[in-house]
Amino acid sequence: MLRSDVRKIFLIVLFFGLQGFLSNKNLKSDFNSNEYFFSTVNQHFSVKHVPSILRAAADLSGFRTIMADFFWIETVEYYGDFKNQKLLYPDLYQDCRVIASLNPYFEINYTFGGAALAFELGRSGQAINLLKIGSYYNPKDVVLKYMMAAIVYQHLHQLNKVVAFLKYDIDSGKAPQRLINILANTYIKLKKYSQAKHLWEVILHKTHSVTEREEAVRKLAAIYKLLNEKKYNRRAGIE
Amino acid sequence: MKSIFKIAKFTYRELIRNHIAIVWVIFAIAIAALDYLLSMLSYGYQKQVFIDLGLGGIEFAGVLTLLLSLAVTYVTEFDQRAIYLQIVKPLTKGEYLLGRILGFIGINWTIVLGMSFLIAGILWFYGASVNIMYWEAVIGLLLEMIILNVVGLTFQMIGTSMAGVVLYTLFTIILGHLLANLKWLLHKHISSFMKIILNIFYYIFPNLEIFNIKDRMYLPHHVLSLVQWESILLYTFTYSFFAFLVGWIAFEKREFK
Repeated sequence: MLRSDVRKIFLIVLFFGLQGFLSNKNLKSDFNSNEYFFSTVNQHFSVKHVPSILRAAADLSGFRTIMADFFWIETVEYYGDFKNQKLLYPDLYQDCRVIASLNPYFEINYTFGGAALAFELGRSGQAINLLKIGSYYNPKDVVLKYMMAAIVYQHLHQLNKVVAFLKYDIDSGKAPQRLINILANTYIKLKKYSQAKHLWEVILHKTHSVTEREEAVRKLAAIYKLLNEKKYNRRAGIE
Repeated sequence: MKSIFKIAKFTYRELIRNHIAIVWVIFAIAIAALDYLLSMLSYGYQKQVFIDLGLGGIEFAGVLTLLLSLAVTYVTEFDQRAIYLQIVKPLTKGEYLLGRILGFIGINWTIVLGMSFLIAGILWFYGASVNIMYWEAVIGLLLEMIILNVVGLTFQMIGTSMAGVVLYTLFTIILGHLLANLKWLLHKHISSFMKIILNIFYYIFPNLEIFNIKDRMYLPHHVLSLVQWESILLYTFTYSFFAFLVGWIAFEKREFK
């Protein structure tokens, strides 16, 4: 019994010695970055837009990111549902806010939500709000800032500037596929039919979605018609 | 030292013989398939969703294996009194407990590593690469499993029924993830008595959010260097050591009739 007690005391002394050694070493090396790391352990996100039961489930399980992913899939499904399109997606902004509360670093949520709300539903205010949250949590992400700029210029009807920002976002590779459709439509509004035709052709070849393919065919038919009219007018000397 | 490893090897084999690995194989296939299907629905974000769900599945599989192992061994060791064969051998109860902990960690790590390689393999098969953060999240899960195994076996030494042991462990896991919010609550204006109670909870339960790297993988300033790993390792071994001591004392005091 005595031997086992001695062993226990030895282990405790060894443990405290080791702990003291390591803590001292930590303080000497780089405490600031360590402090940052542990502050992220105890970080607490905004709870305003997440239902309390869902919030509790996310916190108790430690599966916050996964819950955000599930909500993302649900939001994409919601956006793809034709029934919701008729109602102009009333819950889209709220759904994006829920995802942002669960995982504020999920960038595509902001670009997808922002693009859909501003360019397709005309709810620029909500889009800007969403992108502001995204920029707050992802300050180094230029794509979100450029999208905000594109939305503001769209609001001011300066479509040439909108094109520049949208092109940057698409080239970065971080933008949702939907943004290419938006850029193609902006080209049509600017009467730059050849650029619009090129983009819709790319969409037609790349997309796996039947709805998007149908939309591309429809748009291409309209563009060909407009291009032919333009050619005819040029020949006839009408500008 | 030799006897500790012998117990660990025996525990590992015992758990394999109890078909826990088969449960894992079925679970791994189901999780990987579900993960793949869900990621297909994620509109251009397949890789991230696949990794997130995969890491969640790994943690879930690890926890499930631990709970199953605890239930199975409680029945054989304590209800069917197989532990009598072990405690009459010339080894201390501490050595026996340590051996069992190592055996439990062995089976758990086999499952966690197996699943993480499976997820990485699927990604590699589809031409996607796995970044360093994925492996850091896996290491976080492996360390989390050390604490959970030690705590689980400590509860096995304290508990008087199989259901009790499983429930204590499950609640520790749940509360362990809640501790991050407890810290937030401690900074609020609440009574000092409540603060003392919450502080006790904060220091008694393991802070599992430290190991939850999978939820912080996308933080723009996320840093995980040697300094952080030292702290994480220190926390893991400190907490595990104390939990082990509690389990050891409880085992010493336990009466076998």
